[in-house]
Amino acid sequence: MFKSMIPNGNHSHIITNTIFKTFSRGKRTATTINAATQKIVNQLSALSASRKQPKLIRLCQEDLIKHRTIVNAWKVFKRQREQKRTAQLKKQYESIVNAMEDLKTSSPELFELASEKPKKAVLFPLEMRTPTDYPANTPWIYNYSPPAKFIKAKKPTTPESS
Amino acid sequence: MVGVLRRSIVRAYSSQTSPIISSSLLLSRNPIITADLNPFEAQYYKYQSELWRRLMWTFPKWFYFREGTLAEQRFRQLNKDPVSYNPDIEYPQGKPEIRHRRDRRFKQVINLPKTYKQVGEEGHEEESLTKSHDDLARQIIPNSRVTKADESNDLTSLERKLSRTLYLVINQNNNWVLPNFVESSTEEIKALHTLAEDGLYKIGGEKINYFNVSNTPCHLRINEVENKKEFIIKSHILSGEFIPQDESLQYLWLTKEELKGKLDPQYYYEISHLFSDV
Amino acid sequence: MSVSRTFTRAFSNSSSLSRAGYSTVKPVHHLVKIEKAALKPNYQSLLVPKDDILAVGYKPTEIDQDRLLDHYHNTIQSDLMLHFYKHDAQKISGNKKRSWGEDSPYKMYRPQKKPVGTTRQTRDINPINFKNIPQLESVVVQIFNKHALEDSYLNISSRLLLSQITNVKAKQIYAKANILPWKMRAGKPCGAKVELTGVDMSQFITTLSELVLPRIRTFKGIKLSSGDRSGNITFGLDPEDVKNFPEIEAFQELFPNLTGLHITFKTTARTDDQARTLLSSVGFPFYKA
Repeated sequence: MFKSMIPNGNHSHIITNTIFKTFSRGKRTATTINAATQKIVNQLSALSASRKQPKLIRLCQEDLIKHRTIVNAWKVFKRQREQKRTAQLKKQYESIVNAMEDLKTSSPELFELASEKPKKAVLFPLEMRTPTDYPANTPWIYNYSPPAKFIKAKKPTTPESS
Repeated sequence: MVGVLRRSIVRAYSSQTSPIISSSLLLSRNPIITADLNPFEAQYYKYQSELWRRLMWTFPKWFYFREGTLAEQRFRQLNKDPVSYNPDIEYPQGKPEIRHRRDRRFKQVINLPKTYKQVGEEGHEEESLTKSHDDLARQIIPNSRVTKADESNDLTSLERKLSRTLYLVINQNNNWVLPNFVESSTEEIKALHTLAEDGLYKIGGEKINYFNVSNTPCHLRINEVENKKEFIIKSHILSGEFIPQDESLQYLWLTKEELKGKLDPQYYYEISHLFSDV
Repeated sequence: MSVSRTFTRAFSNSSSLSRAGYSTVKPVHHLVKIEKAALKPNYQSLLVPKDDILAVGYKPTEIDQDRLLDHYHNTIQSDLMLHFYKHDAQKISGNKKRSWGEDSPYKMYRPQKKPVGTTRQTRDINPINFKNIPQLESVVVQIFNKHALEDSYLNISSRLLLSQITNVKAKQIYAKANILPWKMRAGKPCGAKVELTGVDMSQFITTLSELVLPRIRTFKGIKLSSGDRSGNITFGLDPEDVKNFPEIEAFQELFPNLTGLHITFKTTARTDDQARTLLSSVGFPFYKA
């Protein structure tokens, strides 16, 4: 539909303009393009930066120093947070290694069971959701009942293997 | 020489009663809402987002509102054109630079027509009565980040401190500890995470939907008083509730800072790195 | 005398190899091509790094709390470390290029043999510790628009669509091969793509997993077989599904020829299974086809 409309539409318009052109100084002839072309022009202009960009920020020396101070403070804050996080993860990792090392000597059978990994990918449950800015109407679901087969068999391996 | 030494150690060790292997459960409720920002973070984000808005491209009004439509008319009523540049006038604050009906020097503020009446506006009362809860045109008022459980300071509620990770602790012999379970029958070998799970169902009922992170314990705590090795298993409660099966059992859902106050200092110090700061 | 190097007559190829990159005798004539226009003082402002407020292309990146990243750091990261922990695990070496042997001097500088069975090397798989916990690197969203092969202006709307739903200006992609039955000619624009990182990535992922996918009735999840064997997962959305993006939903008449999307999650995981676990932890379901 588009293909047939655009070139023809444009063309006929130009031709008519050239034939019936009457010169009048200072007066602009309104250019009308057909709707389909206008739509594409709109799409292009929504995408392009032309005439939509704001003025560059020109800070005075004082403001520049203020800005740099703020950014530096933020970098320090982030670095400290990152270091704290890494240190905690390292501690957690070392305590896993320590626990497994001990279990290996104190109970080889339990060690086998603890280091057993399913062959396929284990998926995390979808109920572990990303926190939102505001709570839902019911922040917590209380009425959970375990599936019937689960109660009967009481299968212990909770990581739902797929 | 080394061999001899080792053998002697082994003999000495085996002559004692070997410690009982038990599993503890680190059951946590993950945050439900985003973490509270500290003032510096909040201010920095505000500063950055203002800069971001200032540097945004002009809103392509012509793309969303076709000329001559009712919607476009309403949009124009709400968003007045900025003061245009007149060469005959002097502008001490700087010349306006208008492109696409926006002053390039400033951020663009866009008002969209509202589908509801605000508080204080005419007709607000009737509207709030007539509009149903599922009506898409209603005004959306987010729920409070502070819940009833926070107000009443109910430490056993799962709805308290939604922005923090909560951990389950129970009272044993007037000590607040993580729930700890020992295998009763000695013949059958039960994996540590199974032991923890069965123990949890025994003390807290079966109406708990929980996710066990791994079979692997995340920490070993040696309890010298009771001659126990406590392997800590990490898991999350997803829904359901911890309902103590024994009337006398006391339990609490606490954040990291609150745990510091409740737990024995030595006990807390040993396991504090397992708790999330948020 | 300025003689172009390519036209000077040389009887041996080794002469140019043994020559240094430039002559040290003044005036120095660089044999390495340097774009001198870039050294113009007018262009100095373009050399300022983009995260500096003085740069022309400055754009603040940390404009708000990133709830997905926070969730990852607060909960998922530590869980994944415990989850993937394997005691006494060893590095699994990838399929690497092979040496021809050292018994002959001719083999010393010979380009190495291809890996067994393939042409590409594969990466080593290191055991997970606190330093290399799988993480989302970026998300690539791509559109192939076959109608644009005939009329290239039809590609504008796919670029716009992608830019609208991802908040990043899309790049145009071009056909690489001449395939007659598909009316494909090399160099013709035929789609668009964006690579998302940081806040835009988090925003896109949460929109996808919380708003778009739950509203697709036929959606069962990402196929468990999806993956490129080195930790990158791809899945696709149909044109019908794309309508569920909130940016498109209310303005469907503005996007007349909707096309499907290909979404690739690039992760630092080295196996697909690890990548699947990571993606499931940020809210994507999987299903067995």
